[in-house]
Amino acid sequence: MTEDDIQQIFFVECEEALEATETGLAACRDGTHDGETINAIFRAVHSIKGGAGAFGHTALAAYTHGFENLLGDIREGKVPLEPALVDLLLLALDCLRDHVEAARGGGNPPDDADLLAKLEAAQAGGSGIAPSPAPAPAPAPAAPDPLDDLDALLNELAAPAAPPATWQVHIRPHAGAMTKGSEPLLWLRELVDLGGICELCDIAAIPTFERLAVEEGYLGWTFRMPGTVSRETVAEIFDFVGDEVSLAYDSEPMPPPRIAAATMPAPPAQRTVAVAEAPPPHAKTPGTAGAAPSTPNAAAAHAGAAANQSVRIDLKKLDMLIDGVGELVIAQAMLAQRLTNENLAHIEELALIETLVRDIQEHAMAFRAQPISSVFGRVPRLLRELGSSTGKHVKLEVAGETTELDKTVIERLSEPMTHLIRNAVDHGIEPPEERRAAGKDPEGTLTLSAEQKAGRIIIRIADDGRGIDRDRVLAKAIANGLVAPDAQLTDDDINQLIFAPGFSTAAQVSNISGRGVGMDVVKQNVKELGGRITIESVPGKGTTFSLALPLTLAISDGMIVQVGDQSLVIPLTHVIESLRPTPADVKGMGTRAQMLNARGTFVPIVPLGALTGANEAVGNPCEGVLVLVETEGHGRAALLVDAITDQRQFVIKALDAHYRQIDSVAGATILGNGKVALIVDVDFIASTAARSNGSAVLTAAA
Amino acid sequence: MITLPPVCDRAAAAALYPEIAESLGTAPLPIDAARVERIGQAMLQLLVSAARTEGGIAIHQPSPAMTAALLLTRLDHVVMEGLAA
Repeated sequence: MTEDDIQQIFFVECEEALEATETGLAACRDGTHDGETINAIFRAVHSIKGGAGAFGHTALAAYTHGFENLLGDIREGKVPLEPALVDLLLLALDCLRDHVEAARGGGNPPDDADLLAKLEAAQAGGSGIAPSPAPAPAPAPAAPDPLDDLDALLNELAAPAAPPATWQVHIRPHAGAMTKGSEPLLWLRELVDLGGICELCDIAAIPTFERLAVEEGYLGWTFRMPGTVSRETVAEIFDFVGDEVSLAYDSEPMPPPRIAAATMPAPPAQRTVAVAEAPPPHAKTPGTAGAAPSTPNAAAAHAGAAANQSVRIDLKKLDMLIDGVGELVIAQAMLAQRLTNENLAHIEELALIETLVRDIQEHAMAFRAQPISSVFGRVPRLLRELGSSTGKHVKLEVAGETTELDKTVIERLSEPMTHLIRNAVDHGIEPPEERRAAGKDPEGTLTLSAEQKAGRIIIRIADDGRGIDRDRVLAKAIANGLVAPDAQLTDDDINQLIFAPGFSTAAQVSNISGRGVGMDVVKQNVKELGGRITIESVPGKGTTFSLALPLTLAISDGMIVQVGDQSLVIPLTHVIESLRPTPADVKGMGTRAQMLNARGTFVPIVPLGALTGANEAVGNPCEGVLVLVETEGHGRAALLVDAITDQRQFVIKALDAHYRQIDSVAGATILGNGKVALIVDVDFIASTAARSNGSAVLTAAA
Repeated sequence: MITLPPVCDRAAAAALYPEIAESLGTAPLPIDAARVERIGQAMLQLLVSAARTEGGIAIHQPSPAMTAALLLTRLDHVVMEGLAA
């Protein structure tokens, strides 16, 4: 593992820490926090500081130090947590995020002087007393020897009053101190930088070569520190490593090495800040932070701890696994096909393999699934920034943030979401005065929700603003030549106009939105993800954008249908029912179009045979099978096919990677018999059918 | 002659362990430390242990980084006592 890799891990941990801080501060703002929330925030900021110091990001380390000081005071109750202070902390968090970005990208760190001064002011404002030794820093971890305790107390009381000329610190790094980018020698160097002198290196524990275990920590050091350096300063160096290093001071004995952790008695007199913060491994409670799944605590992954553990895996390896699973699904289908030909379709083993393949596939997909909260989590900051630049204060309501989505989808979702939210605040939500005049709460509300519905994820971004001014949109569209002046458009058609490239109704182009580049990018992004976007807007009440996204991009369930000499796949998520109509159910419309009377509603019939140009396809609906499909936003359609042959999982192979994007074809797949089948783009077909009542489809096909 | 790599971290120590274990004999095992740029506790322990096993070791041409690390940890006398002339 190179230093770069370790840095990467550090930045990933930074992300987690920032998220934990954001969650914690959100709880503080809502008043649902407790002592543990503050602790979690403190730990998160602290671990960033530790890593920043270790990797030489001095600006980041200096900033986190200031931030942490204030948090420390809050944690100890010296500064009351008031709403104004929470706002300051949120600002500080935003700045911290910029700092982390700067450290990661090698850019210039943000200007933090003002903020640091504010943080310091908040800190000093709480108590005029210098950090006094009276409030015990933290409870002692285990029940220590009472004498030790007394000693400790005496030492602590004595230390600030009359610091000895010099003092000793004994350092004993354990196995974990040499992992994850930590290196005990770096701490020793820091001690030397503080003016410490190495007096002794304890090598007594080192066994002969054949009994040596490379990963264990055998060495211990004693350093003499100048009296001007406080114990806290020294303890701080080791703070980041938690309980992977044992410290002792002055006359206390050198802590013993922890080579066989189980048989070794608990090291006496562990009363350092580091130890107090992280309980000993045996007493470790899983998920102390309660927020982030893996607490970014340097000490979390202890070699012996049987707590909940996670593994970081290169995404490439994961994708290879998922590709492999895809091929497995195809191979299994081929095997099933071959066995069917041999009249062995119903053997038990085949059913077993099918179940297993499905299980493996579900688990593999779950690897890639991430809660959408990672996207939603960035929204509060965006709103704060928008709030300060537009003067519109917007409340955020979030629902369903635990909904899980494929990682690729999540990654590519944040850009369109950002656009939509900027738009909602800039165009949708009115300025406070206007809202007051309209009898609304002067503070706007933005609602984000995510839910799983019919095999898709529906994400809604709703504001309670003024809604889309359709007259203005239409006028602008006519002025821009996007639509003919005499065109008759439905409300929905007008709403969709805002997705046209270069379209903007904003009278004034602000730096937030209004340039007209945003919405067509949004639509493009969502389409690339295989999703759709719909708008509902009520004038004066607000606008809701709904994004419907596929759960995964790789494998799906489908219905295999036969159309003439071709096999096609209809994604099962769209299928409602299939039926063989009676002549009375089918009504002719015009010369060519036909409609199906499906329980009182008329649904256009789309003959797939005509669309694909298949030979000898059934033309009369009464001789074939109608598959009734439903789409988000485009209503229903009845697809006419010859017969339904199978229902199984299929692996989506994108056509545009190998050929090009074709309308009405969503991709291709390989069937059990090794043949390629096209996947029907139900949305496209249904929308075309709905728009032209089937006539355009038939004319195009004729 | 065993050559220490530029980065002597824990992984390097684990990688070198079998080689050194194999080579330790009655005579001091020569170890070339000229290329060492960074060295950590794991490798130092390994060298200390090797120095105290059988014939011990003899460090050849320690690099400045190596010397600095040994001075910092006060292990210079233990590891370097077999220093080849």
